[in-house]
Amino acid sequence: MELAVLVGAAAAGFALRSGLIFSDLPKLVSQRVEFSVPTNSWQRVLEGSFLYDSGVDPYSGDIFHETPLCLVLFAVLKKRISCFGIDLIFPVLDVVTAFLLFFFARNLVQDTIVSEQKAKEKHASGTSKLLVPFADIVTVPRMVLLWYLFNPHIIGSCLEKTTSVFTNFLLAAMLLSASQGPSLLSRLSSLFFLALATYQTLYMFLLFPALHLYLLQNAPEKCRSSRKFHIARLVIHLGIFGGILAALVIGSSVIMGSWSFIRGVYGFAVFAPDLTPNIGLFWYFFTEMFEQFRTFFTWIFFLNICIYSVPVSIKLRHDPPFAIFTLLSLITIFKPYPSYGDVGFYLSLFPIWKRLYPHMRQSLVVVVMLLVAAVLFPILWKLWIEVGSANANFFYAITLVFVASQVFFVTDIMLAHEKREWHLMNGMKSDVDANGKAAELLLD
Amino acid sequence: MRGAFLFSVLIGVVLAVSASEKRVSDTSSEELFISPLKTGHVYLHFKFASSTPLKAHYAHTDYLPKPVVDILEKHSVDELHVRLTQGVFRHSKWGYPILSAPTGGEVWAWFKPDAEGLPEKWKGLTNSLSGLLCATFSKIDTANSLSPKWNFRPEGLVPGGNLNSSLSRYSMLPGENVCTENLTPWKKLLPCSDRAGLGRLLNSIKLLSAHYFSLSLDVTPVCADVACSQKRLAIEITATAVVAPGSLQDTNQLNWSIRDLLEMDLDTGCPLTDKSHILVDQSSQGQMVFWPSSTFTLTHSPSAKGRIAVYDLKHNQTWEKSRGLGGKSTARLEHGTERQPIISAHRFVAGYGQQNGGIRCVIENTHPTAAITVSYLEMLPWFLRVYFHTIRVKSLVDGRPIPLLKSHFGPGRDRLAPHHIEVIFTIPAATTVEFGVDFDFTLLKWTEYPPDAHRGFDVPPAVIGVKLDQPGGQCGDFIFPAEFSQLGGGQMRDTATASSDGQKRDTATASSDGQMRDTATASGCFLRLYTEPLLVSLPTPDFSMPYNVICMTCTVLALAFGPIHALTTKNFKLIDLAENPPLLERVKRKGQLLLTKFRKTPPAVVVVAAEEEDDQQPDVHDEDVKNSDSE
Amino acid sequence: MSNAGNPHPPGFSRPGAFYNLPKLCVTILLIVLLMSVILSWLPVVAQVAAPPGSKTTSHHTNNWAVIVCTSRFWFNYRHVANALSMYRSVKRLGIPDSQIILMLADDMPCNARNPRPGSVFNNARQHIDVYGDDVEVDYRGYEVTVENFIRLLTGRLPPGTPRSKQLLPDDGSNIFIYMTGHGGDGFLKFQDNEEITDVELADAFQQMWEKKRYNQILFMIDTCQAASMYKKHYSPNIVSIASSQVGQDSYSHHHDTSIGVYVIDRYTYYALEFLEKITQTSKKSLYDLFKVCPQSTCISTPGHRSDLLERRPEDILVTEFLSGNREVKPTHFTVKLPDTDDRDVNVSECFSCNKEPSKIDLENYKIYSDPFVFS
Repeated sequence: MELAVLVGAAAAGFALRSGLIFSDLPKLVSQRVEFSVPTNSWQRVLEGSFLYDSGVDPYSGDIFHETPLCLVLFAVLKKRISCFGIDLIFPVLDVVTAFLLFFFARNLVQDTIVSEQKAKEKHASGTSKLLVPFADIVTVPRMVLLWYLFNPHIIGSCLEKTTSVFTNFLLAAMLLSASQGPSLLSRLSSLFFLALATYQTLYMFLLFPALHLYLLQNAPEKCRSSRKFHIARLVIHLGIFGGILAALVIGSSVIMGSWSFIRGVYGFAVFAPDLTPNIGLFWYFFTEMFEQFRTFFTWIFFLNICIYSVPVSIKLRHDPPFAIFTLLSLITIFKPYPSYGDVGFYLSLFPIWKRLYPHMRQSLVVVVMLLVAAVLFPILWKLWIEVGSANANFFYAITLVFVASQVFFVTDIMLAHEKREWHLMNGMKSDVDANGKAAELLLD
Repeated sequence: MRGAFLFSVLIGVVLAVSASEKRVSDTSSEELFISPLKTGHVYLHFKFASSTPLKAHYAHTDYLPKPVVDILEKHSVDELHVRLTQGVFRHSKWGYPILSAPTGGEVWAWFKPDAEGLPEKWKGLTNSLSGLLCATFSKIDTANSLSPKWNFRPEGLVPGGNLNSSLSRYSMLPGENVCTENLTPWKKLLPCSDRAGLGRLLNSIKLLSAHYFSLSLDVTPVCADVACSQKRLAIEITATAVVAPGSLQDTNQLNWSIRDLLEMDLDTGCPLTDKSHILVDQSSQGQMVFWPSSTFTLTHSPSAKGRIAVYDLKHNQTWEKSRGLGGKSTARLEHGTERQPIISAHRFVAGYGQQNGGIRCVIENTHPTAAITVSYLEMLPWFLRVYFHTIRVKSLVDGRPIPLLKSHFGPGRDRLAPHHIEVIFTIPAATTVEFGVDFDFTLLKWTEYPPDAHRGFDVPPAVIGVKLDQPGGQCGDFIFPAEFSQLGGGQMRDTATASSDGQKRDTATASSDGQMRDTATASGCFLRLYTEPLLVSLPTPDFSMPYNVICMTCTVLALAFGPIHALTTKNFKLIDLAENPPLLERVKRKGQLLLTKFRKTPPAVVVVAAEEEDDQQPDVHDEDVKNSDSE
Repeated sequence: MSNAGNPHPPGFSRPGAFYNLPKLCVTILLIVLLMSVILSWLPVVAQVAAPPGSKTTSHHTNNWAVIVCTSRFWFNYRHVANALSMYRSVKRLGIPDSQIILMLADDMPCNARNPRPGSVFNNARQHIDVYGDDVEVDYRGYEVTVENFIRLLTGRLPPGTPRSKQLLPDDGSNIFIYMTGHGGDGFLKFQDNEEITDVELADAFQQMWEKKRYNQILFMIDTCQAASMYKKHYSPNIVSIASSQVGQDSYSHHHDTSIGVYVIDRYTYYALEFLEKITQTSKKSLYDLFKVCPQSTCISTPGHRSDLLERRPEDILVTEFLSGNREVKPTHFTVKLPDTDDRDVNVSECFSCNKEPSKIDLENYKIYSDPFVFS
């Protein structure tokens, strides 16, 4: 029964995507700014590979921002598989990613239930209904699979053949291998996938602290208290991650014959010189920037992305997968070139934490704002760019709405998580304190 | 006595020798070529040429304009070509001009091999030219100039004989406009300025009302003879105009005269020049009567038709007062095209909206049997994100793709370099082909938009270089006859030359101003076509928004930072409401306290009320309300 | 502190000495500081100490003119006509093109909308073409910006700027600065997207004064609320004339139906009428120039400011600013000029070398073999 549902969903998702990719729809909606940004646009991949074949360094211009390995991979694929085959890779990868997330969700829910049962004595009385029910082992992974397969953000991203498909695949593989258990292979592979994801999208290195804590989680209990163990593990993980990343970067320089790709790939991600409008905050801010402040604000924005990594990981050290989820969403909100593919990925992971939903207070606002943004983005873009009756401010306003909705979502879900933890430890009532006086649950 | 005589002879000889050394070694000539066209326009081409022996340093020049020579020396320039043009030359109506020029401004230069710091030298050159010609050439920098790979080869001598295309720089400014302020300093470069000779005819009002008007300055090192024993620096200053006589609207006949076209009278030539000629092309107008009768005429090569009448202003050419030089046609105008051009090109912007677009250039080869190889150069500005993989040439007749024989792609860098496309392909006979490339528009920083941002941005014209074969008679189909190139110079580079004072053609002599350009192949003449410049509109931000955007974006950042900072640095606690009432509660109490003070109640009562409130802990709100009511 | 070794009671200095050495040093230091402060203020005091009208003769040796039109777009035709009218007057009265900087923000004469290309008229009836045949525009189009204007005035132009785009006055130069365009209270709009404020202008003039870049400046401005632009001047030897007071608009004079726009502003029209009667030998003074275009003809009230001058406006001739006249002092000694010989190359004439000019290898110049083969 379960298998039938899974296979049916996979087939439906695959059929939907392939059907749409090979129809006329991509031509009509090609290069939509919500899905295609300079860092993941397929048009630019084609351009880079063409320049590479013509003997021109693709990074000598300002158009190609993919990694050299992606270039080489595409060159190899072009020779072996036809165009049709390359087009098919995207739906296939999407379905594979969906299944990776399915298994990851199942592992995670199982682990959560196990750990909650183990810690049951520490919980306050009357909090049993806050715990994750056993039924979730079946329902949550299925929801994650369906959410990923039929999420319009993900479908559109696949349709536009953006390279977010590859990034999502790498992240899903990383999550799955991290959730597999304490074996060396799973740790190695999760760090390997993280290194690959960082190699492709710079900001994924911010997930390292949370991933490291996740990998530590499965270590034996007695080792955990020793300080030497922690330091050793940190050094080992950092070494593996750094080593793989360095090998990838150095290998790329060998392939390209020069270091010019550093400016095109990583320098581009940090300094964000391309001001093409997208659903993020950077483009209009740096369009309207006073020249004397440009460097200052570039570094402020970079710092803004990076600064959440360590504090959030430390605060959520008892629940590293949730830390990874939160950091993923924060990176997506604040990175220079976000796209719907990245947004869809973390939204698809939300069912894993559906136990937090009762504690979330701003869900209506978030949903309404997301819907409004989804509807108005294309309308205001067309009015500005094609019809000419609106101006850039309209599109910028909707960008603000969209980003604000995501910000509300992340802060709400983090607060909900903390509140649930508190309730688990201290009981359900939160309007009277121990002495019977009126009280309120506040952060202090 | 004899000694004194010998001594004086010696002195005399020495003086004579030194005087002869100080004899003027510069040569100078001025020519005006007039060609009445079938469409009713008159093509005028002024050429003022001068040359001096090639030196490392020119302390003094007689006829060459010293400012130009100084600029060349200062910036280590070997060859320089500057064009300023208003209007587009209609090849389909008027044929091909002697000198092609793109609309707007164009500068290209070849630097000496030992020139150091080429970017600075190029910038210095363009700055100096902007001051010399009152044009905004100072806008030229690396962002809109490139080094062409196969086009714009040197037209004169090349030091060392090896070509290094990195020594060349080419730039176009399509938005540049030409006005009297460019003509004024340009006229001052002529030996006689606008005081005497053909320079007097340069009436700015009439020339600027022309359908096409172009000024150019070409400086090239050339050989003075076939053996190239003497090398000279040649400067050619030309003005081209296509004017329509005022009488055209009234009658259907082309009656033109210099007086009517330029509103100036002819006189004797500039005394400083060796040669001052007016050449009138009588080939295309079979039924036109020209006056006065010319000093002599030249005939074409047998392959082409017609003749050229030459008027020598220096040899007692007299002009009838109030008539000057002119022609009167005895038949009605055909209003057709002058000649079907062998090759013509038009360029368009494709697409709609401000997100993406493309360029399409339609090139037509009208020759029935011969295929033509063309070299196509596009310099696209950096603010267009050009996708080189979309470059394609296809035939519009049957849709087949045309293969590219050679191609050079230079991706542009934002704000640093333009996109450089150079392709070579062959157009089959009697075919029209279309060159296409796609691009995306970019959003620029708000300070990078010009003051009238909604006008749009200019895209420079494309350059098409064509080599035509002589045997096919294609070179004869030009607006001017082959011989003219040897009298005056220009784009045509035949190996056969003509002397300037005979009706027959010599094969090896050069004209007096050393116009022997090169001994290139016996086949062919070279033609350069420019397409129209284009105007594209980029998406614009709102220019009044910097502060607002900074405030609003930072607000959203703070909306995230605040709660997350609180979450990561604090823990959830149960807070006693009585001891730590929420903010609203505190404000409410403070307000009520102030209210009671303003009422006419003694302070002691208020203090008592406050103390009472403190004692009663739970249900504080209700107590407050009750107490205030009872007051 | 024990006083064992000191026979005198504490606080009592040695007999015979009337002073405490440290205290003396401090006092001397203070006096020196005070003196230096006072002395450093003296030049400034001396600068403004000369009361207006105390000097009687001009000491200018050359004339410069900076004529700026700051407006873009066809409907601001009249501003270009204003600027060109002043340019014509100044040229007619003898200032050569090399000493005139003309800045026109847009191209009116060869504009596609101009029914008479190559000409700009300032008068519908008389049809005077103020553009003419002999005009050199130094800054045109997008080059006319606030930054370029201030760099021009203060002389801080980038290296490589051609000489025709530089203002090269010295301390004997009288400079005539004319600005026209759209303005407001305390600013003048450049090109419809930026503005120069009165404070910036005053500071630019002060920089010029400190660098000794002028002897006297005549600043004429024809915009709305023009007088606000000269209220903040604080450098000496600047006389200013404005077409309207603060709170008033300057009006245009008349329009030409064939061109379709207003062709000249009132103040400049009447100022031009006045200047047409000036010749190089004219004895009209600045006082007469101040009286041009009273409120009855100009609708706005022109203003002027001459308190920064050291001479009285009645004593200053208009030709001192607008004409190429200069004081000539005959010398009584001969000056020996060096011989020039074509073969003798003066190293200072050679631009690209700082040593012996190298001879080019003429033999090495070859003909490029085949420029037509695309290889």
